[in-house]
Amino acid sequence: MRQPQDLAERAFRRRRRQDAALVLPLMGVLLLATPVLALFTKDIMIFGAPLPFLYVFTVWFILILLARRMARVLDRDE
Amino acid sequence: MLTFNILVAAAIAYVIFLFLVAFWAERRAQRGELGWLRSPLVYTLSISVYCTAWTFYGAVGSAARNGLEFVTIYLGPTLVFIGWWWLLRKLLRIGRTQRITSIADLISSRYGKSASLGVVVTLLAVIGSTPYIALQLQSITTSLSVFATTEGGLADSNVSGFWVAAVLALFTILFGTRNVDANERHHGVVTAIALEAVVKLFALLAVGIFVVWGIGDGVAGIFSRMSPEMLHVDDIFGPRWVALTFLSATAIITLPRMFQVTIVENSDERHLSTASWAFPAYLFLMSLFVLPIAIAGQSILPAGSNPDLYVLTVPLAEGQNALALLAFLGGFSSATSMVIIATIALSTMVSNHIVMPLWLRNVSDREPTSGDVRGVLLASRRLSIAALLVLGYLYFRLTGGTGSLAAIGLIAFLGVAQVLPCLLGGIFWRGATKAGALAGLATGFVVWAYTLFLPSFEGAFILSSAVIENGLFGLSWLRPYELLGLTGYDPLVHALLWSLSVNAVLFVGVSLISTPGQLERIQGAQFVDVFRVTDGRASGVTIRRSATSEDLFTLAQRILGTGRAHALFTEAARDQGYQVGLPAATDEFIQSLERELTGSVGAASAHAMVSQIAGGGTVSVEELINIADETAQIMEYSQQLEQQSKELAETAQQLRQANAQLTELGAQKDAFLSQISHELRTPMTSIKSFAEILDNTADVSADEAQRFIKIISSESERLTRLLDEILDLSFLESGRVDWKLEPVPIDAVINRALAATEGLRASTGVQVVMDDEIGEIEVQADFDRLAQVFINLISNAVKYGRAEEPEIRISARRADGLAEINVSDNGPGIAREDRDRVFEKFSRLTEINLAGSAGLGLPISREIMRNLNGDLTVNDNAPGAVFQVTLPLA
Repeated sequence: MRQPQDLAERAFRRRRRQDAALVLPLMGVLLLATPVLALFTKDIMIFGAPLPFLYVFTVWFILILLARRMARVLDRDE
Repeated sequence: MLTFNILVAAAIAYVIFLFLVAFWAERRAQRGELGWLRSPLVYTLSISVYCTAWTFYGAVGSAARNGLEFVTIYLGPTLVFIGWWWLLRKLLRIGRTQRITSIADLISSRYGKSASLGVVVTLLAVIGSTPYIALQLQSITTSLSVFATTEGGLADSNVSGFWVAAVLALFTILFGTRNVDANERHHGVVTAIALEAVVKLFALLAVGIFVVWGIGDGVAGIFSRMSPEMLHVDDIFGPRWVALTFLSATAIITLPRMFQVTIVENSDERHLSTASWAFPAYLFLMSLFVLPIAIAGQSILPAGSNPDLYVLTVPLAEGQNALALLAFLGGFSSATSMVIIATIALSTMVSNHIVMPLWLRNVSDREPTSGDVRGVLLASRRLSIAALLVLGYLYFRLTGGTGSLAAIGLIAFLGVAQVLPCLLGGIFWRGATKAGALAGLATGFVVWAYTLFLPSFEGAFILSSAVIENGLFGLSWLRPYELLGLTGYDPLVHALLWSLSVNAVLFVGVSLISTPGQLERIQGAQFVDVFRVTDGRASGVTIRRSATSEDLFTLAQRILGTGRAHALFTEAARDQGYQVGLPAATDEFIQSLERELTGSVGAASAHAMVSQIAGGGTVSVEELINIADETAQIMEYSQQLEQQSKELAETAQQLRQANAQLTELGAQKDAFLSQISHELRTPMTSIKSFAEILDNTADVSADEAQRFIKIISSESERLTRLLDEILDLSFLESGRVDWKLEPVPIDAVINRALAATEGLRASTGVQVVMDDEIGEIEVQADFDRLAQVFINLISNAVKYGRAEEPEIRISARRADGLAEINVSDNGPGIAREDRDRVFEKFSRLTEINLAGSAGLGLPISREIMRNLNGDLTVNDNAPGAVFQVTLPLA
């Protein structure tokens, strides 16, 4: 039998994981649709590819990985 | 050489293959063997219907013209999908519990199953989608024309466009209208769409890989061919970037076809969590090679080539015919899948929100349920599909060739984006009303049409070029591209700013000043709190009606078909406990029936039909409120509230008790302190006065001085004793005593007490009588402390037990593992009302104060007994006073 204290703690952590699900899209907006993006739109080539191109696609890729992780965590909670 | 005829043959073969796949999937679905056809993967792939020909060809064109800007069209949906937990999940749950059939149905259902809102959203969707369908037809014909070497026949874009439209209509009607219940889902169509999604991704990746490693010798190689100004590095980020991201994010929610695949065709809510990252990953792959292909096109093709066709023309120019064919099929897939899903979604909306209400109004004059509703529905859907494709084809014929692909797509995006405020407001804000939604939608729509849609015809449709140039009636502040003199923005950003802000402001403003109807409020609660509502008792209002089961059965039969209706009614009858016959027309049953029908004809129509049978919607407000009160939603709310208020009441009660105890304790302490100071003052006063006499009076005789000093000494002793007793009591009351408990014979204790009180007893001549039993009893106690109690009791008996022949009787007996020892006198006893007071500190029952005791004897004795795990009580065994000591036996 679990202590109620423990259950409350679990519910709280679960709620927090759900709140974290909001952080991901906000982070995406911040990095890809605010002037933060302008910091990286410079005419520089890195590894033979232009910096803006690399930046957008790298951020995008990381977002997808995080979303995958998040989806698994949230699924487990269900 | 890849000839035009081979291409046409490949296209036809591909279409036949799609037909077979769809047919096969339908067959499996009918046999209930869906298996992996109902998997998160297929769901994700079907969502990729977002990537149309506009994406397939147009993204490369956009990259060639505007550099990186094309990714915004994919970033918006990515952001929405990785935030699925907050929006899509809620939409999906609402869609399932309310059995929503389309975006128009969602809006209509939310705002009190409003028929007018359904019509408005449907019109908006049709107007916004027709150019988009035309765009797909155009992309197929232009891609065909790339290969055309001869004039006339299928090489004529008008002819090929017609045939493409006709084949698509056939496919959609065949697989999109097999049944009328949108909730049964179109497995054949979805499977075909998923297959097309694979083809288009594979084709674009193949072309991309060829471009990077076949033409450009790797990543660095292809980017080294890029012209320096192509990326537009300095103005990548700006209002247009934000606007496009926002628009595409909106489109993934509000586009009718996206709503269809994401919400309506979804068969399992858990699929969404997979799609939340898999769909962004699909988009990522779709756009990864767009820029390289654009670079290759610009570097190897002659200047002036159409960048919208680079995906085809680059492989062709390099002599890669197979790759070009694959690319053609990819583009073909993108276009056809969009058209199929869009026409299914739109035809559902048109038939449910325009045809059905009109038909219902028409037949209601005669007989409410006459005519075959099911037939009408199917026919109206099929006709709508054909009509939509005709409309798209006409649009394509009339505007053929004007404008680049992407421009038309964005115009359509902004058109359907007008639904966004009332959609978001509807699912997150209970205060949103139908009037607000109508006002916002209508004005947003008008502003969009005036500032973007109509001017896009460049004077050919309704707005003349003079009006576009100079404003309506020549008023310069009404210039479509510079409304109210707002200049410096690109037309899309300008139109987005005006249309959506006016829309949102009116939606919120009118919602705040208008009053929603009962049904609106109930639906609002159902939508906003969809996760709180327990399943099963979720939706709808039932109106106490005079409907008979026969009428309802007839209605259900006509809409759902005999088989389904029969099954539904039989099940309901069994649930109600009837073995044979129809179920009773209970509220619950009518409600569930209405939900079933909603899945076929939309909320507004289902509500209207059921209400019609029920004898019209004349329901008293009171009754509606009663019904509303019964909904699960409100029940749950009130239960929660009840629970909370109960907890609050309990806490308050406990607090009140604690407060009362504290107040009482405070009062006791005050009384105790004032008693103590009083008790202390008496001896102090006499000590002080005798000391003063000795000090001030010169001629005190030695005898007198001796007597005064004695008094001072005895008063000091009394003071000391009093302080000792107070200390003793406070120590005992703190409960921190740690005595050694051991078996103690009672008679030894009593003999000690009698010895200690011998002097006192002798002065009054009291007789002590002891029972014989005392000698045999042993108790668990601390000897000295117990003796102290008996000394106190005996002295009290001596002091207060005044009688002619005073006698103290001490008796003892065993009872339930306890020893009871009584000390009684034959005096006047203690009055019943005083019995509680004898243990109070400083309470003396009479004013007689014999031995200078401060009245702390009994309270101390009782504390001792309690610390010995026993007790001291007063009994009323008259005539005298009887004190009873109880103690555990040894």
